[in-house]
Amino acid sequence: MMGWVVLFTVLLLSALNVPIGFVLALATIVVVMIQGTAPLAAIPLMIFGGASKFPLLAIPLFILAGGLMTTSGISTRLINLASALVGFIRGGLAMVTIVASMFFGEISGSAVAGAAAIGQVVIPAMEKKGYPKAFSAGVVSNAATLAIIIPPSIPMIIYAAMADTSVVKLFISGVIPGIIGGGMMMLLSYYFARTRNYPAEAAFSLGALGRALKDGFWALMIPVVIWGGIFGGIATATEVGGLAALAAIVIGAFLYRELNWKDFWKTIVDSAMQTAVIMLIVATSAVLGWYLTNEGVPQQLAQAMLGLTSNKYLILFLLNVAFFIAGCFLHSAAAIILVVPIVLPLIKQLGVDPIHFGLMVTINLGVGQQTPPVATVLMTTCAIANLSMWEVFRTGFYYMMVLVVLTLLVTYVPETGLWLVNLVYAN
Amino acid sequence: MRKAYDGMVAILEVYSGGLILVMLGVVLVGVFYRYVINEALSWYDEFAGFILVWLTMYGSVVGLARGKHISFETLVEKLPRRGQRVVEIFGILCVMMFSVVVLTSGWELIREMAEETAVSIPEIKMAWIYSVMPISAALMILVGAVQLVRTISGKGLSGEARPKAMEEGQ
Repeated sequence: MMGWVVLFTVLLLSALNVPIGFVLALATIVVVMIQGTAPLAAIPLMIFGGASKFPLLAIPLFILAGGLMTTSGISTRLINLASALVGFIRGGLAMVTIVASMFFGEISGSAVAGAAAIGQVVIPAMEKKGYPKAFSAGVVSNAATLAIIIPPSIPMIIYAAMADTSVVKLFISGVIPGIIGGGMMMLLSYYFARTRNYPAEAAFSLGALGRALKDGFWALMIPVVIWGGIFGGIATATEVGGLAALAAIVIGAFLYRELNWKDFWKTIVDSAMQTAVIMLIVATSAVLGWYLTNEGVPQQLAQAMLGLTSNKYLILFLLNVAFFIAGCFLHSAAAIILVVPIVLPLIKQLGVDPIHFGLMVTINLGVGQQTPPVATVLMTTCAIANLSMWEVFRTGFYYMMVLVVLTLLVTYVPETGLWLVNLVYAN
Repeated sequence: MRKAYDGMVAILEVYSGGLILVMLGVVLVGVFYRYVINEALSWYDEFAGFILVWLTMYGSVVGLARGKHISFETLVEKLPRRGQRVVEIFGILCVMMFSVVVLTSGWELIREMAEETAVSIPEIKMAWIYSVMPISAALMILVGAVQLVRTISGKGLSGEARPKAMEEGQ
């Protein structure tokens, strides 16, 4: 009964344009007031507890690192490097977008940051070369989602905090699916370039690649710091995030000398705002999650599901559908915090590896970032390209299907993600 | 009056920027101690977690004033002007209701926790740390009141253009 009150309140208030971060807390306040079993004083305590987890510190630090990359001139160099690597192929700029997004994803864990950083440079350039604008925006938007599959990744950080599992293992599990996803998007771009006659960029030259590598040497040091820290098991995700932000500052201020005080401070304030917005959702999702768990919703759901079927593959499929729907209407952070604790007991009962499940959820919610009405990454790209959401959604549809295929691949071939994890942890 | 309000929001913005810098500093000091000096700091993860909550709450006040929080605008945009304004007022009241609950129960929380201290740093009273809840809630009520006056007098939300989804972390 109270579950329906929560659902109704959330849907009603969301539809009325109340910010989602407040909606989640308000729904809990409403049911706590009706029931009167728990004291209202628990609410600020839960908000506090939801936001003060050490692993979540990685979120602001990676947001900061991503923002500083752009103001430090690191993003531009990564795009140049991608251009020297794959620009010569037919559909060159689409290829460059995808490869640059993969580079960017090695540093930032945020697909919104990736879409903004790369879209601003690539979309105007593609327009000049005669690519339809909606097509360029579709590529930028979907390629940006690779950032949350390739480590580091903000949704993975949140999942690991919720499921109490290893962030680093989850990060590692994303490497191969990220590369497969990028590869599939490049094949698709090649096909479109052939059939629609999109141009290649300058012919491949070792000299140009050498120059781009030399110019981008310091820019490439950041992924080295991050991946070294993660794979070497040297530091936690939070510590690596701090080091990445520091590296971006040092490179931008002393090596490329493109970072000035004004841009630096603007990036700091922007990052603080982005952090507050996402962390409010994280914190208030925790409040609602606490209520739902207290009410025994996870156990009820597990029972209901297992009463329906005990087929692991079918249940995983149903959960994929559930996460897809949640991802259409919820911010990915909220979807993870609300849904993961509810389905986790079921997952464990079925004997599914929480790392495998986390990877599945991450990529699935990546699709949700591209599907209206709540499509954070798509919206960012549309704002840059000045196009309507549906227009870009249509042209980017095939690229989004790559993400859908990738979700099914990691769901039903767990080795796609787990093989590398087992390899790294074997010794 | 308007100037005082804008000034307050600007100060909170600088404060939030400062908090994220302090957080970066604390994490880097922690890394330095752990890997260079080889002596883990016992307080740094708990303390950094506190800063994150402060950043979240004080930053959310600024986000509220500047209309940066993520919401679902599609349906409301289809309403006629008059309806939009009614919905806007309702939304502000909802946020204010949240803030009133956090303010009153946050105050209660502080009183109950008056003697508790942080686990790793006995010098820090939890009441100081929890103070963020009622204070930020009071600031949100203030922001809500100003927005309410502006909306009713027809000046539009926060006196700025409608926010886009650009500023957000995923």
